[in-house]
Amino acid sequence: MAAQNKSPLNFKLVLLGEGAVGKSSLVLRFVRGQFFDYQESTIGAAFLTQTVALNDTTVKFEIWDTAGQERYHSLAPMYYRGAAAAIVVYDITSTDSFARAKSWVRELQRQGNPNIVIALAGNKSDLASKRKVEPDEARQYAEENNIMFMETSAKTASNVNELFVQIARKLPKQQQQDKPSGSANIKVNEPKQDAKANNCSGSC
Amino acid sequence: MCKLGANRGVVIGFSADIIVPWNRIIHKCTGWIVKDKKRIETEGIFRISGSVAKIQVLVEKMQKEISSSKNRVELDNEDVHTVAGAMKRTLIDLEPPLITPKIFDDLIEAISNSASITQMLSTFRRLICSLSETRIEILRTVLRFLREVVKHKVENKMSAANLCKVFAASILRHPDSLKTALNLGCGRLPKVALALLVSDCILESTFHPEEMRPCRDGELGDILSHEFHMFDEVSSPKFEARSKSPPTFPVASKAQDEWEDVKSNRASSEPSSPGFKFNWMAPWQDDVADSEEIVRQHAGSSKIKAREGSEDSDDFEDVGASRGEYV
Repeated sequence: MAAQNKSPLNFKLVLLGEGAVGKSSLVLRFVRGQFFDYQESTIGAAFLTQTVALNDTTVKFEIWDTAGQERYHSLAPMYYRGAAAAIVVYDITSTDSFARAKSWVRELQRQGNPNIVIALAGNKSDLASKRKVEPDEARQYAEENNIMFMETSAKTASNVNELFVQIARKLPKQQQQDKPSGSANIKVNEPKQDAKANNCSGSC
Repeated sequence: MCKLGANRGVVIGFSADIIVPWNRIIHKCTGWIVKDKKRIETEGIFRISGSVAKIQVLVEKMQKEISSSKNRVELDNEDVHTVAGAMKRTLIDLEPPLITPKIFDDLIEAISNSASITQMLSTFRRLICSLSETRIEILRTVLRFLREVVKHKVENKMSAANLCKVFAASILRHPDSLKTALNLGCGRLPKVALALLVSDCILESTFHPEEMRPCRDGELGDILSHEFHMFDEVSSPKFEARSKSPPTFPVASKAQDEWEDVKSNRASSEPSSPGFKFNWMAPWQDDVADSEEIVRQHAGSSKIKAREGSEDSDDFEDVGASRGEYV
């Protein structure tokens, strides 16, 4: 009912993953359609927005692209708190980054928003010759943990837009348009859908 | 310049400072990496992390090596990222931290409130001089090594600024981890590290990271302002130049209709977008107020509200409005 193109639904989305797996590159590809071979390390986090039009709704992603360096880890909860969706990125040429991705998924499932939509992205799929993580292994892990999975390449743009569109489709569409201050129509006893959006950021 | 020039390369054996033995681990790792061109030219050295488990094992082995001369640790079988990680780990684990908390605070103060770069650097010199000789020695070893890494930046893709982003928190750490994280997150620690790396605060010469040669004071100011500008301001020049090319949107067939809307949306908002930002962003929109610092930060980022009001600006936006003045 609130699904009108004029007022997009806002969703907070966070990217997590080890350093140098391509988080910023994925976001940059999605938001601006660009790719740089030499992308510098991210400090703290970068914030971007992008709108995705689905058939009946418009979804606006508020994207927090976090720094992957281990030393920034203690800041991560501030970024994933209240997020409606998370993309956990690993590099298909690094088993260590896959292991790190798994621990991010665990952390999100334990401490993130209970209804958070998690997508696992195996990035750098263009580097097939250096592949260390098989897609089947990742897919199986994703199924076991009930999260989405896609192999992407920010460099060739393969599956990047698809990833975000899939996430947009999975997100609950019946949320309030107002921020928490206008909480008149939050139905506390109806956990089905209302609790998911950024409206709940104060309580989750 | 007080004691900086003295005792160069000499570790005082009788110091009560417990960090002395760690200096040997640092030397071992840096020596090994520098020894072979292939190692120091590894792409993303210090940025790409090695296996945490392997790093842990290696650090423990090297610590044992110090206590008994029998267990010699051979690094040749290790991966470059593991050795680099072990070096970082050793620095991070130094207890008490390499830079004492008082000096840490003063360095942050100096980078935030100095009237000029010259003034800032002279404060840095004074502060570093007040550390113990062993600490200065470790810092000197590390910075000298980092300069070597930057000299191979064409191959390893680690420019001075990039290297400082990933290395800063290893040498600059406050026992209060939130303090470390916040100063790291807003980009202050990388700035301090960069100033230490290119200036003569601790090494006897200045260093031009672009041309890899000693430089004069004036030039040094330019480098620092340029790099600091990159941390602080909207974008680095190269980024702006590139972003002029119109974005292309490879469209998947099944999502075609959905993306048409996105494209038109974007086309209208594109020209106003300023570029990529390397600044401190406050993620707490309405929820987090864990500490006084966060509250202050929140108060400063008034643009959050402004952004919510505007529906149509779809690109990079500046939420951390107070990036320069973050207190």
